[in-house]
Amino acid sequence: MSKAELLKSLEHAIVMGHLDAEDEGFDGTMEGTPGTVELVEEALEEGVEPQKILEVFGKAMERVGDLFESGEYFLPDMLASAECVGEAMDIIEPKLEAGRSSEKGKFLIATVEGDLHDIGKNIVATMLKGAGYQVQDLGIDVPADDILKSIEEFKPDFVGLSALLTTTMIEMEKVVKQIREKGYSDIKVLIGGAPTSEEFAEKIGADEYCRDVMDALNKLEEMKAAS
Amino acid sequence: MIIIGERVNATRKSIRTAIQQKDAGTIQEEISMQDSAGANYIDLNAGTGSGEIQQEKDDLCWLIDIALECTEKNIVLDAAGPEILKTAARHLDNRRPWMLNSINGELTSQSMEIIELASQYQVPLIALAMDKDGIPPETDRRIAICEAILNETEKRGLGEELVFFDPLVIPIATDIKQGLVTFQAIQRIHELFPKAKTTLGLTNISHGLKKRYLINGSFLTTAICFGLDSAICDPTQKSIQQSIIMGNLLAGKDRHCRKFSRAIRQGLFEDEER
Repeated sequence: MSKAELLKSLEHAIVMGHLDAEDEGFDGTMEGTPGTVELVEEALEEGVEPQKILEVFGKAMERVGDLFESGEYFLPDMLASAECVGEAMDIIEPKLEAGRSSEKGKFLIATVEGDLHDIGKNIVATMLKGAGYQVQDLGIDVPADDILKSIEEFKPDFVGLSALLTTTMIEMEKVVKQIREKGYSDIKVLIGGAPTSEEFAEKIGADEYCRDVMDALNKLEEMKAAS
Repeated sequence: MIIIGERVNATRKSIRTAIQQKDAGTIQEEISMQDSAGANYIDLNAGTGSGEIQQEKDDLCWLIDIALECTEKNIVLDAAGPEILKTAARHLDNRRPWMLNSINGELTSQSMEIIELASQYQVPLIALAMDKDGIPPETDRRIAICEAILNETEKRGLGEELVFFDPLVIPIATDIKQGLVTFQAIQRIHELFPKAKTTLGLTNISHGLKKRYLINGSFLTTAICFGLDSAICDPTQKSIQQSIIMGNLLAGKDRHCRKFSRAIRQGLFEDEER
């Protein structure tokens, strides 16, 4: 396979969520054929620039996003592709110069204190990793103080807060307030979760409300384009 | 899930007639439809009830020839007597992966011959959790039967991994606890004999009740969640296909929910007249 063909196969494998040779892929016919992991390894062996491989990830995930928004892909199909990119990232990360993989930005994510729900948060974290963000996931039930401490150490460009309950979403207000009080005016705060809304985001001083994972990705791109 | 297609069974009138009239077309069609519906094994049973052993031997060999020609799927040789199974095994001659159906916990000299046949070819053997008194209503006694069977199979060189236990089903119409008894038996078999497999014929569960396809389907889905490895069923029935997909989905055996999502896209779950 030429380098160009290799990258094309890789893009196809990611779109199909075809992780490795053991995986059946989106259409169930791909078992036994090289998957994302094998193709990334082959590409690196053939001397393809890691940067070129990263571009393929972006292109593939963009396509996956379109397929999800059009209703052709269901949530697990999208996560399968994100998983491919996540695994592939682990392979190429050591080959990249330091900091390269975070060139899209650093993203700190957490479910706020008192709330134990993590499905939505995990989806967003996985997708952001797949899209090339450097993600630090603090988990669930995270007190505001811990979030602030991590901000100090990790120095994120974005902070994502998640809550599923009306009783815990008010915790977000506390976190946003503390972030602003500490003077982190450059950090963009994004919130999400079933009870939250555009109005709520505005009320508590968050920068964006994200309806779902694709909305989050789009808003991140918009914010970066605007800055 | 290992799906064993049960349709080619001479206890069904259409099959019995086809065998008696040597109507290969009908048999071929029955095999092909199970093949394309996703069966992994095609069960072949030529027991027309005539009691003539030579006739059943000839008929089963005739079924084997048809199967070898019209499908790539594996084969289950299904007969009660060891003589018939031995002849069929020799005729099949390992031209396809295959297994034997079946023995039970009565463990007669005939059963021993069938165990030895399975051991000789090192092929899987289906073993029913019943004995001379029939199907015990309690889980414990069914497990005790499985243990007794395993004792004999291992003595004769047939490893635990080649035994497919059918824990069997008593109709819930006569005893409402019996669904649970079967589920518990599946679970216990896997706990006690981790290398053995479980398989199950389904339809008995709903005997005497209405909307049987709903009962059979929910039963199968739940049995898969309890660890069932295989089912002896009619894979051409939509409700069976749906139940297998649901079982694998809920039991965590469908990575990224792909088989479920594909079935949705293919319209398997669309309502239609039954």
